[in-house]
Amino acid sequence: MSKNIVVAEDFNVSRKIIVSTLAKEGYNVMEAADGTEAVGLFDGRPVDMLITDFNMPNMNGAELIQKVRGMNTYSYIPILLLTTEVRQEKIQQALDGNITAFIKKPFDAQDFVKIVKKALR
Amino acid sequence: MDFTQEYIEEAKLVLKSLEESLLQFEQRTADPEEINTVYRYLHTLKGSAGMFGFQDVERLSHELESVYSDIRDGLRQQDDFILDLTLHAVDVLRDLLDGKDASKEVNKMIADIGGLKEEGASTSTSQSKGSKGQQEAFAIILTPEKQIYKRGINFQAMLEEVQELGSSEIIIHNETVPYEKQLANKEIDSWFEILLASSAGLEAVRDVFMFMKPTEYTVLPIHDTSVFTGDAYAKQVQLSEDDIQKRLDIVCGYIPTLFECNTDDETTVDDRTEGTSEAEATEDQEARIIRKSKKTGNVSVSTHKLDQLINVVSELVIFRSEIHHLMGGTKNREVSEALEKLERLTLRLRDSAFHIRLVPLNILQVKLQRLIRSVSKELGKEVEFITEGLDTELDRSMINALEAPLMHIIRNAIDHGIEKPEERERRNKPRKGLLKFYSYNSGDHVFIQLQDDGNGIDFDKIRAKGIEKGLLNKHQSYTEKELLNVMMAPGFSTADKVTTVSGRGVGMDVVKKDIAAIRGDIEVSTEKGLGSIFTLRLPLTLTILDTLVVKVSDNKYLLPISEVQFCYEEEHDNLLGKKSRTIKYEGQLMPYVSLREYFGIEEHTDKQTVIVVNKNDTKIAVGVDAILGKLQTVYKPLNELLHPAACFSGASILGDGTMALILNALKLKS
Repeated sequence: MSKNIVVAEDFNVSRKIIVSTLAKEGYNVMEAADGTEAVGLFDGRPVDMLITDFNMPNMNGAELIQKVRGMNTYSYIPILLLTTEVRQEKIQQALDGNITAFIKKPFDAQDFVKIVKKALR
Repeated sequence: MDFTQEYIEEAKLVLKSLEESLLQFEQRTADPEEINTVYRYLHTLKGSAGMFGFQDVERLSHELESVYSDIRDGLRQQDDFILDLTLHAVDVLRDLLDGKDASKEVNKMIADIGGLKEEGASTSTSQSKGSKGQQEAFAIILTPEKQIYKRGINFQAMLEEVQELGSSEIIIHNETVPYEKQLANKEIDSWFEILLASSAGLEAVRDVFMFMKPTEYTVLPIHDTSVFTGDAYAKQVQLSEDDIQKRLDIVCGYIPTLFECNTDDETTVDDRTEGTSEAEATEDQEARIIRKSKKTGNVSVSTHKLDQLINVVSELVIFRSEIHHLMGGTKNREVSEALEKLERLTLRLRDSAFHIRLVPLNILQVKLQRLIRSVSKELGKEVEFITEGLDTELDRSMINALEAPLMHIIRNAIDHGIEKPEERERRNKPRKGLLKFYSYNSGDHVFIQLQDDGNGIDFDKIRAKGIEKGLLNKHQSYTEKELLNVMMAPGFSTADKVTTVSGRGVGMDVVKKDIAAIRGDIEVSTEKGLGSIFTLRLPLTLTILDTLVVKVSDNKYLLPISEVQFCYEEEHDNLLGKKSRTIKYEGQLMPYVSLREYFGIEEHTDKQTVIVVNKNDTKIAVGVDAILGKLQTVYKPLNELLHPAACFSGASILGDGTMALILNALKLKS
């Protein structure tokens, strides 16, 4: 059974790259262009992983993650956060204890897939 | 089996190991230990041969043995001539064991060896080798945060991942709440100690914990006992002498040779002391061989038994999905958690069962090396053979099927690709041509690349030859890709003159067909003057198949996903309206077959799903009612009675227990 992954990222090009990379690996990918749209996808349907950007309009990554973790169904799913290197430390402190791993942008597709696979084990 | 037969079997095994050791020498200068290994094999051969009446085997191995004992003692230097001689001797010995009469050859060889002895070379060389892929021992300390599951990290899965790396023992400390309970609550209260023996290397072990914080894990390579008293341990626990010994026992159980240099002083002394009687020495060596075989501990099982195991396991997997199906609606958390566990276990069981069938590619190495040696000698070329990733595993039957195509590609590369040494020098290349064998896993596929640094493929030549053979049109220009395709067309050979090496009538087309038969494909890239790369892409195993489940009337059929190129919906009338029974996709006309029509069902649906199947560049469009989904199935061959129905290549059992046939779309055409 292929796994369901939600990808939240407002920057179209990045999102398309992530989506096609994951689709090629056989994952079922749902995309959202901002946090609000992403929360809408967590409506009780099976979601096996969330990959989200930090800076997004309407609702940022931190709020999205808090919301998702707050729902019973999704409290233990792996969450990968996309960040730029500069900000990482700050965000890491803010979100400590809620996310599985950081993905530094720009990322290498192979490494990225490796991390996704591992987190979905 | 009588004793003679037993001896022959065993002697052949020894010959095989001997051959392997010898081919190692070609890669680099042999160290004394390896020379000693060769010496030991020859000694073993000699020892038992006389007893069973193989006088020639005894004579020949005796002579060789004395050569290698000279090398070992530094009285003679290992060189290419001796290596050739010994390899040839292996062949002769094999013939002798098969009962062939080769006494003439033996006499000639013994004379050769006698000549060698008179030359009497001297000076010794020694070089130590670097160990690679060897088993290492690790102590791992894990102190996960209580809320690690809140971070989306599946701690239990991580422990399982460690176990897959090798032999391991997990010790749970501070288990105030039973671990199972901790898992159910998704709150970890304990800390963990893992003793691991693995050949994966430190990096791979650390990789397992890449989602953990640096403060949550420590991986310590075990070289001596100091690990257990070091800082990392001291922070968590104070181990008593007894505790340490227990851990050492576990680790030494995994890798008996781990502390050998410290504890086994006796053997090392024996080896170096002169004047020890030979009988004693061999006894010692035998002891070591036994220990060595314990380490790997292989059991050979007939493929028939393996097939049976796989059959049972596959049925278990299906049964599991049936339960899953039946319990689909349940809201009971404990039940669904138990189901999840069952699912994980069955899948792991299936994977292990399939992995048993897999064997590393290095069983081909000896054959390939010998081929390269003989072909390059014959053609007067110098070739260095480099291999990487030979531990990549493939289904046994696949490896057998790969042998011929690989040999053909290698032959071609040496014959047509790599230039003569003089010519290479003129072109500012090293005298020795490079042939690289490279293999790796990627997803469900194994890739094998064969790269040479020769002349590359000559497109002008292919073009000329293609025109000559009537495969190409003189007035048309062709892309490089098209020309490469022609190269793999039946009856094509570019050799200027037919040599015994390549160009014996079978060409690349046979290679392509052989590879396609095991559901693989082959790609060639080439650069004139720089060399070419042949890439083979192969499925990991032939028994698991990713399929598309399609519906036709009330029946379900399966199509291998690797063959599906494109799917779309179309009105029935648009399809039937055409008399030609062909459709156009991406500007290409291809035959169209409606499965309803094919199976003689008269009524039809308004809309049909068209699936474009592409198998080895032959396309066909297949019309079905609907696509139901994707499914990983276990392929079962059809009973012979069904063979006339060529449009089915096999059968498989679906998740709900019903059976579906696997379509062989290309056969629908006729």
